[in-house]
Amino acid sequence: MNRLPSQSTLENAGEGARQVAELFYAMTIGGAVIWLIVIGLAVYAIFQPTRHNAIKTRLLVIGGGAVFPTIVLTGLLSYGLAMLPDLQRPAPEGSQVIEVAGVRWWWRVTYRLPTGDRIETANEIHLPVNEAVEFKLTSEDVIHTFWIPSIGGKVDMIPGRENRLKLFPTKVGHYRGVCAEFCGAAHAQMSFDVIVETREEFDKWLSQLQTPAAGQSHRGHAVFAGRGCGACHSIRGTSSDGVVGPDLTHVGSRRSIGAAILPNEPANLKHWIRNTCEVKPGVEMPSFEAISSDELDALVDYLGSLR
Amino acid sequence: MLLAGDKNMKRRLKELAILGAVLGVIGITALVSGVVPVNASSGHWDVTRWVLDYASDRSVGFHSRGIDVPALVEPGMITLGAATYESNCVFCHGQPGERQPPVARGMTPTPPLLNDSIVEKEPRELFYIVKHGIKFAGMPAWPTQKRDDEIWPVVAFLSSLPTMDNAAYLDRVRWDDQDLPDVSPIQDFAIEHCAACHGVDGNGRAGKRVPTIAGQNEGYLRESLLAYRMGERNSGIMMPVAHRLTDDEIDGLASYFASQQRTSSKSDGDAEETTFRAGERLAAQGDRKDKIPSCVDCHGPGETRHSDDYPRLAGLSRWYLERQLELFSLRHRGGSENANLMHPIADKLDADQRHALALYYSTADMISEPEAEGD
Repeated sequence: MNRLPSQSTLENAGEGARQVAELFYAMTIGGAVIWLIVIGLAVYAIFQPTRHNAIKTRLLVIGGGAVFPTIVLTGLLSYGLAMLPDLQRPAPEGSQVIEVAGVRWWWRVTYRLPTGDRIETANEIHLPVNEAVEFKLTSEDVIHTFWIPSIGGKVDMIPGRENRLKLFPTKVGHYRGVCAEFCGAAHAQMSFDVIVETREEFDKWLSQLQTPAAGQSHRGHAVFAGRGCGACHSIRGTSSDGVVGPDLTHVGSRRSIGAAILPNEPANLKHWIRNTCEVKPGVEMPSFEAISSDELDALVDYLGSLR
Repeated sequence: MLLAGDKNMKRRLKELAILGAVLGVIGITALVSGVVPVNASSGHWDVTRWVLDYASDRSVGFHSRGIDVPALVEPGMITLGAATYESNCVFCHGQPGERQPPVARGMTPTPPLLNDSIVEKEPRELFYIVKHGIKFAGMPAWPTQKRDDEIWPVVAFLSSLPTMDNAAYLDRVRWDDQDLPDVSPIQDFAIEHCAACHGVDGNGRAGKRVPTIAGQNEGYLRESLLAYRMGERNSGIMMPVAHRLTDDEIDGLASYFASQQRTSSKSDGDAEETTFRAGERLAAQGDRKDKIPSCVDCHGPGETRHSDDYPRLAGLSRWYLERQLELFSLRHRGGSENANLMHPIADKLDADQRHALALYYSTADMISEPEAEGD
């Protein structure tokens, strides 16, 4: 990973973000032109030696002070409002539906399958390129805000209600999403990875997501179960069925750990398990300081194998 | 007249100042020269003893106001108090009905023989003295200030002293090994150090406050004893006991008690069906809404794969389990390196949930079912 994933609306890779970027450019350039004209007129007024023509002055005041702003602002408002219906329109029937719940301080991601089944993962969202995707956004504790700057958003996640959002990614790549509403101690460490890929790759990933985990004979699996990790985490296909923390069935295939705060590498994972509360102050998971190096090696190797 | 009075006053003040200065010089001379003896061998003058006793009684009476005294009648409570006394107090105060130990007799003030002096004290006053100790009297404070629950059995024992003779006392604090056919060295060691409270097989003989250690995980027992010895787990009863143990003795005891059979679930109180079910559900599934993890993944029952360093909870007394959760949430328990895992969980449990979980585990079946694994 030689480059951090994009987290900028100006580097857009989705319909919503593109329109927001265009609006931003139009307003910045328009505003700059108007500013130059006004300052130019002010300079002219100061250095013009002769007396001003009274009629021209009056026309300028009324035209430049009332008529022109009204026209410009009305135009801008229409331009902005015209974007809304399309951004608001639900994704067409048959589009991928993804439920995302904000939980302090991570993301519970659930893919709805055409069969009606729901399959859970966490902190990494895969999207097919050039297709509309419908998000159902909820919160399990406090107000969070779901935002993928490069693709679109942002929408509040409010406890007790479901908000929706349609996104239309247009460029294959790796992006970063964030929580955009202060939600407590680890708010700044509540991010997620977004992978936009071709339909083919997406289907492959989604079918892989549905397979239960293998490798129950792995020594690390005994450590996982023995240390009680399954009290909070699920690994489908094993007896670990916790619901309090992120699902780890395919954690080895994810780009990052701890809600996109560290690259998913063995050294980072070891550091995370032993020093959780130092890496992410406020986190719900306790630090497993007492785990032996031997157990930790096996555990991290096992988690890495869950692909 | 006024002027004369003024002059008189001034002279008085001058005389007083001179007197004060002279006394001060004498005092400092006495202090610095070291002529005043601090030897305990001569004891106190009667008047000194009376003043110190009176001041101490008044202070204890004043500061123990407002201490709520719990019920002191509870099965096993006096035995636990007696065993604690035998472990922590007997060096100075002696066994009931016996003479003062010779070393203690050399102390000034001499630690009182409690059979006689105890009747004058209220339970709240006894609690205050045992918890806080008495300055300059050689009476130490309780080894931790975080375990008031351990002090009440001692108070219960002290309150029963006036009617206790030496034979009755020894009956409580000594384990009679006549019935055992064959005593192994480690069993003998356990009889000496543990059996008064925990019983020779670890199934307990001093009531609900003493955890059942028979069949407990060996790693957990070892880590707990080490934590007591290091002062990482707070207990005025266990810290002094563990302090006297070597690494080998700790290993031996952990392995001995782990291999004992846990006899029966100890249910203290009536089991309410709905509360039991609530506890069972919470233990098995946790609570997603309140972010409470399940208990069974670490503590059983039934599951045999959980770490040896985590305790098995099935069959422990309700009182003990509830108290541990409460102590965790107050950060008063301490423990091994794994204790921090329980802090965020205990913080989320309210009193009802603690009660339900304790009820469930105190009556849950202890038997492991390895075959049933693999769901």
